[in-house]
Amino acid sequence: MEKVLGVGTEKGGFILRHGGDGWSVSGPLFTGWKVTAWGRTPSGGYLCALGSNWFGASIHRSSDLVEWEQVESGPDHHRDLEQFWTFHTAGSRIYTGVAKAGVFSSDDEGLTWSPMADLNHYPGSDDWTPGLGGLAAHRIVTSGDRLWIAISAVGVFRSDGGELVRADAGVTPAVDETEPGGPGYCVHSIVAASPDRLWRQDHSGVYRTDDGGDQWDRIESGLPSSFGFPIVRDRASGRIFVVPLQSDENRLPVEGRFAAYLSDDDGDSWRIAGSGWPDEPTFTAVLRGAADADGEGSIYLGTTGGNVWATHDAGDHWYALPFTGPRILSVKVLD
Amino acid sequence: MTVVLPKLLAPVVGDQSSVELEAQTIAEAIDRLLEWKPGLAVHLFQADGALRPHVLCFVDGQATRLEDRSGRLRADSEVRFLQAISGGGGFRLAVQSPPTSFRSR
Repeated sequence: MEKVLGVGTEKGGFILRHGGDGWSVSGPLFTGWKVTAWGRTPSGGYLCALGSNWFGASIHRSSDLVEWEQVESGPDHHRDLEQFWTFHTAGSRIYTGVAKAGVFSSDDEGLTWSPMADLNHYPGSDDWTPGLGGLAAHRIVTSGDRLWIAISAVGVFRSDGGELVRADAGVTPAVDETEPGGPGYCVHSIVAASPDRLWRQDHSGVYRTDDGGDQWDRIESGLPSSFGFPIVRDRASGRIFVVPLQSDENRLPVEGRFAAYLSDDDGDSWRIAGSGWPDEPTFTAVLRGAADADGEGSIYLGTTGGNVWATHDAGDHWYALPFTGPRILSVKVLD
Repeated sequence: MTVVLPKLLAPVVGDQSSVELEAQTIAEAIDRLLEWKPGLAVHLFQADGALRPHVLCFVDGQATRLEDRSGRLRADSEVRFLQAISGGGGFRLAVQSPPTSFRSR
């Protein structure tokens, strides 16, 4: 079965396809634009988010990954809309998370978008301050009837179908003066296995919750460092993956040993994920949006050095795809 | 009159980086431009309608931030949008001193 991967970089998007003859690369799409997120629509269409330091951000739709059309009725944010960080499709609804700190949803295949007022006008949100990457609502996760939103330098919010509640208890904030329930919890990524069990990679470490985020506990045994950006889960094997970096001051692999780490036991312990990683010193990182899993054993990691690392056996063996691009911002399994 | 756009806006306008429009004033030219391609609005202007900080606009070779859009246009007028080479203090200089090639038009 063909695999199709969307790879978004600082200077355009690429479509990587794996068929009987190995991998092929098409692109760049949107030359010169940052491609910050990819998504699927409920009926099987494709979404791509563009960003520019000059010309702002917009959403584009396609039915075939070749012809693209700009969404002209994009989100109308009361804050500056600096960047689209993520798309998440659940049932007939698409969500997008944006900077500055907003979430919008579409019930018509991404043609029109409505604000999530509870989040976009959350009490005190006008005083939130961005981290280095911006005031980004960068991850939206659903499981059962629950929805979580992760916002950098603020924290995690959960909805059980109604009111938003904060979900950061037990997490060490990035700012010493942070008050419980206030901003300052610098979540980098989250992933869910069920309405109760989630994992998060934070600025301050790696955590797990068994009650939907009411309480988080550190799970870092075996990791070379606790800092990093992505956290992904292979649904078939249940394995969880992170890509550790030295520290927030030194966002590079420890001693240049670039590798993902995996956990076979829900985060109780970690080890280097299989084999295939470069032997030579490799000082590159994986950003939060540049990791994705297909749920069937394939995981893809796009690096700031422009390479994509892949496994198809849930992390036992890894290889670099035959592609080198600009700094990779987004990776998404499209088919 | 003619509106010329940066080639980076190809995702919005395709290969058509200039368009002939019927407009008597700068305001009318902007209106016609956004009627032609509504998707340009988010890329050229902020939510409050102001020109994006790192986008330049020249009307017949004169730099403008489009704060006053009442200026009259001729049939051969040109409104040209450019991406600024921004950084340090150069952005302000670039706005005040348009490139010679545009100033002489």
